[in-house]
Amino acid sequence: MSDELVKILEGNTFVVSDARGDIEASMTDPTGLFSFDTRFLSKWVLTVNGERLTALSTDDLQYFETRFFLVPGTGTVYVDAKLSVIRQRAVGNGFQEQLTILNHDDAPVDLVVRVDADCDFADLFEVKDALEKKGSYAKRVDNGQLLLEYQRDTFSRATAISSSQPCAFDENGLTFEITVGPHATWKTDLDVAIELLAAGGDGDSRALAWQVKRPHKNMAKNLQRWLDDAPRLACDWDTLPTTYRRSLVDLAALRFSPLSAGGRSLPAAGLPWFMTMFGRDSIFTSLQALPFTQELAATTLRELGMRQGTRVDDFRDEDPGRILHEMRFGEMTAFDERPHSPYFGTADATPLYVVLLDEYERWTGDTKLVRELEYEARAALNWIDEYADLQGNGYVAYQRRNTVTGLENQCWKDSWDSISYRDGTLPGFPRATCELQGYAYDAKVRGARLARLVWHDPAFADRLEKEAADLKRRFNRDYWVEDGEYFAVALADNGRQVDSLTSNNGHLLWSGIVDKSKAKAVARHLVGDRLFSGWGVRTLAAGESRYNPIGYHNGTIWPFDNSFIAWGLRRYGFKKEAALIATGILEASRFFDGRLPEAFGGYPRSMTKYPVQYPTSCSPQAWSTGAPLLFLRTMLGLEPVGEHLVVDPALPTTIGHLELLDIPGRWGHLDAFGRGLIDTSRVTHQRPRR
Amino acid sequence: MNDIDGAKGTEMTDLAEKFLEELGRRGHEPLLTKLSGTVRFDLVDGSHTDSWLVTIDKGDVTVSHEPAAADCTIRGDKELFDALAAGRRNAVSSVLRGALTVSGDVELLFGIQRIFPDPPRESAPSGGARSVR
Repeated sequence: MSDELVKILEGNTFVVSDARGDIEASMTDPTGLFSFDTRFLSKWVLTVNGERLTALSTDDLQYFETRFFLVPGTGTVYVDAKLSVIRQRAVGNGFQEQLTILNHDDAPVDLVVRVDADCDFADLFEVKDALEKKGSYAKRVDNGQLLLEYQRDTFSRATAISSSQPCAFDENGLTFEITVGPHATWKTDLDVAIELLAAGGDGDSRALAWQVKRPHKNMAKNLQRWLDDAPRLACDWDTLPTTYRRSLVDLAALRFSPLSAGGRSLPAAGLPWFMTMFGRDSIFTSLQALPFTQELAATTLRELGMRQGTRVDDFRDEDPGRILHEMRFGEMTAFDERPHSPYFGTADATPLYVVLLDEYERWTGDTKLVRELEYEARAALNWIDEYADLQGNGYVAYQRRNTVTGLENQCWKDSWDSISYRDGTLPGFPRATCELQGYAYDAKVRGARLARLVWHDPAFADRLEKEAADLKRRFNRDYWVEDGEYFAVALADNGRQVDSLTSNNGHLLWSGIVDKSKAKAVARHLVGDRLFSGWGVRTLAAGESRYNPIGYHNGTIWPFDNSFIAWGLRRYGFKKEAALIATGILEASRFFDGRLPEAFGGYPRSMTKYPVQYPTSCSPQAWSTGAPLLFLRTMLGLEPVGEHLVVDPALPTTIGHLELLDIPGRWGHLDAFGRGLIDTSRVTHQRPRR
Repeated sequence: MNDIDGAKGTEMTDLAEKFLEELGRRGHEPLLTKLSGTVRFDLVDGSHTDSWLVTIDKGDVTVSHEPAAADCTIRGDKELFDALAAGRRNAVSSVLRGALTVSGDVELLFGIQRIFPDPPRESAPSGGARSVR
């Protein structure tokens, strides 16, 4: 049997099965039907006359729908090819499966069709960490359905299985004893429904129960409308339209509608394991997508604002004004065995929240939302000074207070060894990574603009601008590594510069915190041999002690990271360097059928010829999906200025002619055109002096 | 396990009632500025249910002790409401656990849960205490 797993999803509900459509999960095996971070079906096995089936093919119809073509028997030679079995499955509230059996013979056939079903109701965290369940199970046949139930104190979850055709239920599944006539077809619709938070309020569209079970109708039409609404792209280079379309479809699949959002969507972090609200990922992806769709940003701002921290809660690493890191709905979260209700342990989401609010207004002119979120934006700005200065030196730093289940590294490079000195040693906590200072600077500058323009508080604006200028001055002094001519990745708890060369320098350009006099040296590094592989910018420079071309945050190339680096280069006028990076990553996308992975290897392009994918369970990932969109913005030089959209293309010759039509914004819809004039092979990227 | 569960067993009575009465005296609560509507808290104590109605008008709060119909009703054991009022339990995880049931407008739930207080900090955290400036 093929090891290929088939995944379909809608919102935070998804099904992972084998190529036959069967599910046989163990406690540690990530297959099954999942919703709200809980497994609602761990066994779903189809047999015909006691025999398993063999997959002929699988059709991925849409991200929420798939079709399995099967024949009975598991041998290498088909035992009985006179029958075909088709399972067509769509995710909704649980999933629906249409089971079709075709008899190709001239004679009728008697069949026993059996579906074995079971559920362990595992929390995603339990699947990840292989933990034991604490509640009790029940199975019962009731009112024409098989009910699988789980109860722990007041916590209850259930799965209800039913069929449109009559069948015999028992506690382990359902059986059809049927006769299919010559050249006839038999069909049944199986429904696997999930039950949670079922209290009251049925029929009330604002109710929790309805939000959980809201109908998933017209998903195909919804997807088509989403694609129709996006700007149209045409160009001479066939890679780009393919990648663009892939990004739009994947972004549609990644839309997630939180409880309370009334059906509005924000980008979840990744499919399928990260289909939930993440502060950092939802904000970065909304920023990348702004020139193409603005509703994702609006929902992100509203929903993150509604869940902004209000308490000092050590277990959740919550502070007043802090923007959440991750929200989960499973059993361990429900019993406070995990802090994700929500968990706040990230240091970048809070300043980035203000950055997104300002960038959103610049594109849309939606001052109403900016007024509506004034309290939240002020609380976020206040968090930077009041709660994030853990080193007592005026810089944003992080250190978890939940030392058991909290996150150690609260920046985007969140693996344990991602922040290191040149010699490989790791700094202590609290850590003040450099990009956090850039985000804080940008938040203050943008917050000042909103204060002056929308909140009519010039005194607050003046104060923020003064603080921003002061932060910039100190930063360029304290983080600048003199002998390398770049910014240190962090200041350690002891005040020392953590002196390795990293991609974080690109985020600093994006934020605007870099002194003009230092920008050229930084740009040279970003396209130099130590950081630039030919495909993109490595997370950690070759030559550093922990550099490893397949080190998660220590040498791999992240498309998302590169999209912000290119934006940063463009901001400081390095058009050719931005085009070089955009071209490299977009060329790499061709090797992944347009779907950029989370990360790929940092090997020199001249060595591998193709980008080596870093193994990961999460694909597509939202901010990788958003990267091509941001590259398009950067290469076309799209910039909202007042009521206008400025277009200032700097395109590589690879692209040739490029047009992006119907770009939405405060101007209505506008078109952008450009012609590739930059020969990226001639952009210098020699090694800077050390 | 976490700090919150460790705080059980302390003698605390009528904390929920005191919290609701105090909320009524606040007049305006900035955290609720975006909310308008009525929320009823049903405090269940054995066979007895004690209902409190919180009326919010763009952050202006009035509280009455009555079982009136509301846009959002939040129901649970009185003991749990006492724990919420003391910051020893979290409202969102309590909803996920089924210990609190919610009917009506769920946005009011997410809105009003912001007003519950900090959990008690019984011991200094092992690290990351915020700097004093």
